Amino acid sequence: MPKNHSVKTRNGFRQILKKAFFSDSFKAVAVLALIALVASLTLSVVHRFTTVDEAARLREKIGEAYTAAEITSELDIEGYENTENSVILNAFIASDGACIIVSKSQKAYNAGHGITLFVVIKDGIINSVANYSSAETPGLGTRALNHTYLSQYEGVAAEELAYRVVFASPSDTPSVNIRYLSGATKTSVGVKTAVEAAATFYIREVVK
Amino acid sequence: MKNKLRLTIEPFTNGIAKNNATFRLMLGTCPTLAVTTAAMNGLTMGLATTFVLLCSNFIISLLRNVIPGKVRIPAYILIIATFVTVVDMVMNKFLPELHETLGLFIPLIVVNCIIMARAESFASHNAPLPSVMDGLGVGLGFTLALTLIGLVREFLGAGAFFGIEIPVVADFAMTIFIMPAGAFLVYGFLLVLFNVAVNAFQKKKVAEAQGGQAK
Repeated sequence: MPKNHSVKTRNGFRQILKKAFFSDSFKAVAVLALIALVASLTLSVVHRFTTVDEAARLREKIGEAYTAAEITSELDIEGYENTENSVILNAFIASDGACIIVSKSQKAYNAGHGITLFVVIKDGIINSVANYSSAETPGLGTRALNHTYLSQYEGVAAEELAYRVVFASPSDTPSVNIRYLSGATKTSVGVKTAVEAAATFYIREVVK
Repeated sequence: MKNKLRLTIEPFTNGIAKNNATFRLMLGTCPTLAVTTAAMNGLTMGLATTFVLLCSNFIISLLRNVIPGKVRIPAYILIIATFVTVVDMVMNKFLPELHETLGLFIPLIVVNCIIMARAESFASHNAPLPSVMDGLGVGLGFTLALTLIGLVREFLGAGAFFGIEIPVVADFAMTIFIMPAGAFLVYGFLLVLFNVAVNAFQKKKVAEAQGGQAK
């Protein structure tokens, strides 16, 4: 009697399993799981081949922006108190003494992305400014990121731009006049913010 | 044989002209208006969407008898999202500047109604080859539309052609065409032109067919 009961239970259990296994719900879950598994495998393979070495990309871009000398060391920016609306991401020293500062401004037309610039300062004078990363409107905001516009900062003393941020009193208003572009005002302001932040960093951290 | 060939080619040509997603079906309007500030952006966005359309149509068509109807939408989204992520990663690696410019619109291809529409209405009912042709046709039609809008907006708004400034035109550039209002204006005008051209072509074709029958 107990033997028959156990066989019955076993058969019932088997039938439940069989039913569950061939049910629509199980099939749906299995298909979705299988697709997800294949998708994960595909993405992990693609990720392996498309991983971006941000540090290498940054160095490569710096090499393109400043060709006069090679980078010899990186400055420690940890603990540096950033100004409002801007962040100093990296700072390097080149073999000729030039300081290459990677400065990001949160002020931009595409504020979510911001504007990141390379600002090269040599002997206290801005040597060059170049765009590293931005997502401004092509043909509109990007006009304030091309070399023609950015070259207005070349030859300006870092001190003059830094004082705009460090000392806000009118007596310290510098003589330098920064031109904004009509139709690209927000980008122009973003560029100025990034350059001023770089100049301030230079005065506070490098000159001292 | 001829009929089979026609059934394979037809989805391709339909996607470009007769059923152009942007100008005829008015689908995918959000990326169309947002990314076409320059011709290159339109072209890149179009090609990225074409790749996703092509691959997702192929896979969905292959799995059309395997995917249960109850979970077909999540399954399609899973497949489409995989290809969009592939495009996103590849663009980040090889075209970082364009990737930055297009920004959020690349991941948003996942919810592009053109891709979902082709998956649901065509790929899930047809064999892989016609589905691939459909994806290619619709994708290239979308690319054509985006590039065309981008070309006009860039030319009028920035006086440039694929990023190259045109000396005299650049001096008289009208910024409004780069702005959202300009996107609607250009889209509207091109919509009219495209529909007039396609309708005229179709009428001519019908007239030719009727003439042939009369003979």
